[in-house]
This record gives sequence, C-alpha cells and structure tokens, in this order.
Amino acid sequence: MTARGADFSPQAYARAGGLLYLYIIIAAMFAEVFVRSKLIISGDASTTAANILAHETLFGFGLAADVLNVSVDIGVALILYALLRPVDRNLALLAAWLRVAFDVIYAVCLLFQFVALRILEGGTVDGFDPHQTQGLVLLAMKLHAAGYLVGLVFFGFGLLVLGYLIWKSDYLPRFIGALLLIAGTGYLINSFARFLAPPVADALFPWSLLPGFIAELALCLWLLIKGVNLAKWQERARAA
Amino acid sequence: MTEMQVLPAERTQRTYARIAGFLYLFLIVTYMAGVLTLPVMTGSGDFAEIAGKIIASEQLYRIALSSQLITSVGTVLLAFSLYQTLKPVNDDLARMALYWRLGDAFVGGAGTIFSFMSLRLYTHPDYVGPFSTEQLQALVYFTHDAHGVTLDAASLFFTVGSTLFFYLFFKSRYIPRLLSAFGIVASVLAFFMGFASLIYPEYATTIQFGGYPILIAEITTGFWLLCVGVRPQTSVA
Repeated sequence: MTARGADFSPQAYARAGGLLYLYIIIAAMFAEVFVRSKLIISGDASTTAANILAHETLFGFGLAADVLNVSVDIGVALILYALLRPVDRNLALLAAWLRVAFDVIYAVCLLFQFVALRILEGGTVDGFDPHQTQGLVLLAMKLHAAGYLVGLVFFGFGLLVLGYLIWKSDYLPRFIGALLLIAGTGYLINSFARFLAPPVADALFPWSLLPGFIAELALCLWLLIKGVNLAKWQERARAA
Repeated sequence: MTEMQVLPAERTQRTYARIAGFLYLFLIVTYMAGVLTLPVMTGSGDFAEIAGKIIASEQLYRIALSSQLITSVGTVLLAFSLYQTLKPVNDDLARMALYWRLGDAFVGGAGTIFSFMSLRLYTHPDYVGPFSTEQLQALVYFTHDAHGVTLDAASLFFTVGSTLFFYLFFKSRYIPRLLSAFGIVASVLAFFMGFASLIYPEYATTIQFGGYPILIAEITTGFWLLCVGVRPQTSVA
C-alpha cells in the first residue's frame, strides 16, 4: 500500500491517525497517572513493592496499555509520514524514524517493568534479603523511567520536524505546527534538564511537559474531527 | 568552459552529503567526549572513592553522559543523510544500510539508560534500598557491563551499516576509491572487534584497538564530504 495508490484516502488516514492518537493519549495517561504515579513511590522500595503486589492486575493493565501504545504509535508514525510526504518526503521520513526510535527504546524500557513484576511474583531473589529484593524492584522501575526520558529525546526532535512540516503544509493549521514545535522543545528541555540538572527539572515539571499534552491533543482532535484540507493536500501531492 | 547545470535533486544530494560530513565529525567529538572524559573523572578505586570523585565533578559527568545520548540521536540524522546521499547509487542497499545504522542508534540510545542509572547509584546510594557497599558495587558493575554489552551490540549494527555505506561510496566514486575501500576494510574489522568483545570480554582492552581504523576512515570521510563534497554523475552540461 503506497500513499499515492488509487486507494489512498488522506481523509481516511487522517481520521485513523486521530483515532489511534486518541488511544495513545488515553492509554499513556492511564498508565502514568492512574498506575505508575499511584504505585511507585520514589525512594521507598518497600511501599512500591507492596503497592504493586496489592494492585498486580492494575499494574498488568498499565503494562499492557503501554505495550499496545508502542505498537499503535508505529502506526501513527506511518500515517503522519503518508499525510506529510507531499510537503517534504525526506523530512517526513526523518520525523517517522525519530518517532520509531522512541517506540523502540520505550519497548526496551517496558522490559524493566516485566522484570519488576517477575521479581515480585517470585518472592525473593537469591542472595538478597526481602528488603533488598524490593530495592531491585524499585531499581527496575527507575531504569524504566530513565529509559523513557532517553526515548523522549528522540521523540522531542521528531516533534520539531513534525511541527515544521505541519507549519509548512497548507492542509493542516499552522497553530498546530507551532504547538508541536513548542512541545518538542518542552520534551527536550525536560529530558536534558533531568540529565544535567535534576533540581531544575523538578522546578520545571510539569510545565515543561504541558505543551506536549496540549499540542498532541490538538493534533489528535483536528485529525479526528476535521482531517486535512483535501483540495490543498491533493494539490500539494500533485506538485510533489 | 560550458557551465554545468546542477539538477535540483543533485543539489539536494550534495547538501545531504555536506550534512553527513559535518555529522561524521560532530558525532566523533560527542562520542569521544563521553568515552574519554568518563574514565578520567572516575579513575580507579573502590565504590566510595569513585562516588566521591563523581560527586565532585557531577555536572561534567552528566554532560559527558548526555553527549553519548546526543551521539545516538545524531546517528539517526547521519544515517538519514548518508541514505539521501547514496540512494541514487542503489536505493535498496542504501535503505538497508540506513536500517542497520538506525539499529545502531536505537540500541546505543537504549544503552545510555544504564549509564544514567549507575550515576544515580553513585550519587544516591540509598536510592533503591538498604544495600551494602559490596552490593552497590555489584549493581554498578551490572550497569557498566550492561552498557558495555549494548555498545558492543550497537557496534554490530553500526559496522554492517557502515560497510554498506562505504561500499556504495566505492561503487559511486563520490569519494576517492582508496578512502572508501579503507572504510570497507575498517568497518569489517570493527565488526569482528565488536563480536570478539561480546565473546571475549576479558580481552576488551586489547580488542578495542581494532576500532581505530574506522575512526580514521570516518574522520577522513567526514572532512572530504564537508570540504570537497560529492559530484554526482547526473550533472548536465
């Protein structure tokens, strides 16, 4: 299936992209706000382990939502590439690859959540007492968090390219492009602040991530409700 | 002399070639900044001694780790630029080379997770729970080993992609054939170096010298692409 085949419908792609993006936003919020934020207590291994064990099903649902999130996001990357190819095929490809880079790294991070769950299900780890086993669980969850920040660097750069493409396109609103540029910058500031100066990152949180939520929600809803300006998309595709 | 008309596609190709040249050099700087400064900052010693040194230079240590992450992100851009430069030669091979270099970027990026975690263990040893100094040392060794394994794994992706890109340079004559042939040999040598490091980690210090030829090849190619550029065959008089 190619973006220029006779069956290709940019509106259908846009609406599908909006729907998939909506799932991603809901699933990500569920996994982060209702699962990880509630269960994982930074610096408190015992409470974290007890929380996960007491809400094992919820933790499992959060993990499953994240795994599906990664798979769906690859689809979103492909859809956005197909929609923005008429603007600049090369940059659209670059944006897609940067997004897929985030997906791959985040998929690796999810392994650490699996490890945490397996350790707790096993009860103990040979050579470590119960408190230390709980510490290993917290370490696994912190590895997950660190990996998420690493992945967001790729994602942030991808949003910068995506925002530029939407800004340059005639068939999606410029304000969404601008919002994505701000969002990408926010993600990069959040990650590098966390790497270089954690107190600064603490001070900036959650405001450094708020533009990301607003921009991605705006893009999601626009694609779902309005789609693309079909006439302008077709004109751009013919010229490309 | 007849003026050469440069096609727009060719102009794009030349631009990407110069970008690739810049990125070759830039990424070597960012990679070496991490590889060279981290061991100097930590030196040798037990867990407490190394932790003290890291805490004393924590900001610099964090910058060195971040430069390794920048290297992974930049590798995506480099792979993309090389693909755009070489796809007119053979699109399928160039795309395959791109995918291999992207694998390098993804695995390398994932590996930096362990570096940041080891930093956390040094600076906040009570971070994850009541571990003895020996156990913390073991956890730090684990993160170092894990990072080392991901670097070796990433190098396998990198060297296959690099071999293909240099082969395409050889076929296209965009850069001197001697340079591209050297790049092919250096990439293959680096592949076996990475493989050997995974199988014989105890000889890693000796094996790493196998990485110097590819370093020379990339620096030379970077300067060539940036300063001389490429001259595709499709220019029309």
